[in-house]
Amino acid sequence: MSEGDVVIELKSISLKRLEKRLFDRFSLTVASGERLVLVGASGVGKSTLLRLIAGLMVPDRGEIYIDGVLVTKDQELLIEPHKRMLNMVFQDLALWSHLSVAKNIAFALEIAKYPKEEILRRVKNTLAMVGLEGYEDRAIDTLSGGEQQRVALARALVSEPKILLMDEPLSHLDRSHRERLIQEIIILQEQLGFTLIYVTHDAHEIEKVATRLVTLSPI
Amino acid sequence: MNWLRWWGGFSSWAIIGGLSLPILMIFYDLFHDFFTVDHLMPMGVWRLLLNSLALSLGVALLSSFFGLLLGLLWFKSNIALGWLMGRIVWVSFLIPPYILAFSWLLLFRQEGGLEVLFSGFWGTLFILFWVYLPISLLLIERFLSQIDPDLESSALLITNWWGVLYRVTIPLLLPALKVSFWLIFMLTFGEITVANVLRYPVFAMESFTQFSAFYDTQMATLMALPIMMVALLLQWQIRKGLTVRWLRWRAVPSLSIKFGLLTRWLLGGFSWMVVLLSLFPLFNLVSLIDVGSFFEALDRGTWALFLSFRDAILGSTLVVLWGVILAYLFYKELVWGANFLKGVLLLGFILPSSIMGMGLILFWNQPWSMMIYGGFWIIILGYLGKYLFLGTQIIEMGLSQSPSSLEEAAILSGASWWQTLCRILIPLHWRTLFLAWLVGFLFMMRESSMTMLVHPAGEETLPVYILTQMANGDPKVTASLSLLMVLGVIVPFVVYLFYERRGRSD
Repeated sequence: MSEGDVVIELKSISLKRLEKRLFDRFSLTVASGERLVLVGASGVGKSTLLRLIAGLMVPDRGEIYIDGVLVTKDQELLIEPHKRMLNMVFQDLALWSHLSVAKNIAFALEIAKYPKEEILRRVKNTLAMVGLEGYEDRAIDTLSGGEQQRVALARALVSEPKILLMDEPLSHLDRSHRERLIQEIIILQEQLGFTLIYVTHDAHEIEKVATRLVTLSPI
Repeated sequence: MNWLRWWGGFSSWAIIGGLSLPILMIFYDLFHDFFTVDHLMPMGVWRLLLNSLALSLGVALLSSFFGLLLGLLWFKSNIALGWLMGRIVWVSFLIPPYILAFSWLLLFRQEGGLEVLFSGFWGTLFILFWVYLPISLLLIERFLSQIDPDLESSALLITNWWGVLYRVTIPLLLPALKVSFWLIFMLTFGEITVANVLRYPVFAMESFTQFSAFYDTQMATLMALPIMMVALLLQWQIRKGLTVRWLRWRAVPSLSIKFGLLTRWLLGGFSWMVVLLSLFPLFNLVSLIDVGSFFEALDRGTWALFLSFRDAILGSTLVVLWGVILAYLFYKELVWGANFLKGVLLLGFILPSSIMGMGLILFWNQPWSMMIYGGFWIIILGYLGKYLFLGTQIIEMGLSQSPSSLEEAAILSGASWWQTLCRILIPLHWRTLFLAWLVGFLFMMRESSMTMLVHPAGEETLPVYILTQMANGDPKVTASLSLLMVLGVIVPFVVYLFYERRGRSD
């Protein structure tokens, strides 16, 4: 897949949640290597859209294509989330506090039964990539907010996804940390070439991250 | 997830259906030759029903009222060590009720003829009030932790604390009071051991006697019917209030009532009096015991104590193992008819143990099931039928506290539901699982009415052995056995308190 090809396509998505219509025949295409920023008022469905792409939810109607492959059709999940070559950084980071930093990052590789040496190598490399060398054995609770954010990013990147979904990942950080991390995310995205879909409310993040902006409006 | 939904549905229905079969058996036994038996209960029995209703009403009112009062004092004011007092009072729940009754009775016996005063309605009311007060306190504590401090803060701007309590806090606690009232009502309705020790005739006891002493199954099941009807009605009421949402701990600390120095001392003194009174039966048991009687009790009761431990450990472990699966399926809404299934589980819990015992005998005492009925597995099955509700409820409560993103992150990593459960959710919630295990263990250790009915020869647990000793044994040895029993229950509870304290300070 070369840069500019359509990597994600949502076709005529409709979804109703708790009597509220979130999407009505909504369509969107995302090109490979793009940094798409999703904005919109609270409750408009930004996080839901990420979950639909990830396969953590299904729409009432509509089709979702990833890399040209139909992955969701109406309420049927045709391709499971972990087979979509994507990963996600959650708003609350969703780090497993009972596992060390290395174990958090290695989880997906262990599930996929990678050889031990390969897991160690990849974890080490990914930690270096996010600036956390030597943090392998640290407990999650002992890390600062910024460090936890980097672990979440490392966990999402270790399986080398083609698409990275980020749901307000920096909302709990202060201004200076946020600034630095935005820069690092952009550099990583350019180096690794993944497609980024980024949800935020922050005007500064929008300006820095977006190569394209999509505003969701309430129906 | 489709096959998981099917498997979840099938297994949940199979497990819960299997556990409720003994209950259904009572209905079958009653109605299969309904027109051939004289199904009129003697007049005297209706009087027993009134006795039971009066007792249940009294205990439920008293425990709920004092639960509210002490709950506000200990968990919502600046009285020192309220948390500790709230935990110490649990001793009166942990001591099996008949031991509590026995201890108080011995005290009145020592005081020369006052025993008569203590026997009957008032004595039974007094003992059961102490037994169930901790349940009311626990519910008040939980619900208090749910109240948004801003609601009280905004009311404090226009009125004093009494006004806030009257108009905001207590109305918000009404669901807790309702659940407390109905739960205690039902538990009292089915309690027979205290009434037996204190010679107060109650309805559930009559049903038990008809079954175990007169072998009149028809009459016993007929008498079980009103109790089951009340349980059926109340399980709906109780479950309405016991929603998982209400049982979560909030991270935000609640607002505290600030008493002045003098009031603090006075209320603190009153609180410690309550705490000492709850510990009194324990002190009394210890004061009765001498070295000789204690060693005799050890000699005679060690095997029964071992059996109690074995059955309770096995039972509570199974409760946690099944509870995890069921709670996960309920929490993920993967089971069709989950509300009905939860109702069946709750029914098993609030149904009197003696009636559960009757159902177990009627269902399992068959030629094809001697493997189970002839050994200790019948006791374990009874424990599961009664206490699986508690385990499932506690674990579901724990699971609902973690954000769904923790699981979603595992799913994106390619983990199956089983891997997510075993590698993420269970390790994250080990404290909750331990609590579920401990609660099951404590209830099973002190269970007597059902075990007394179903235990095969040679499988007599300590509570059953103590009950038989109370009737015709040496009071000193009985007191020693009771102390052994109490220690067996209290030690794990104290261990848990240390963990709970550490968990809060972490």
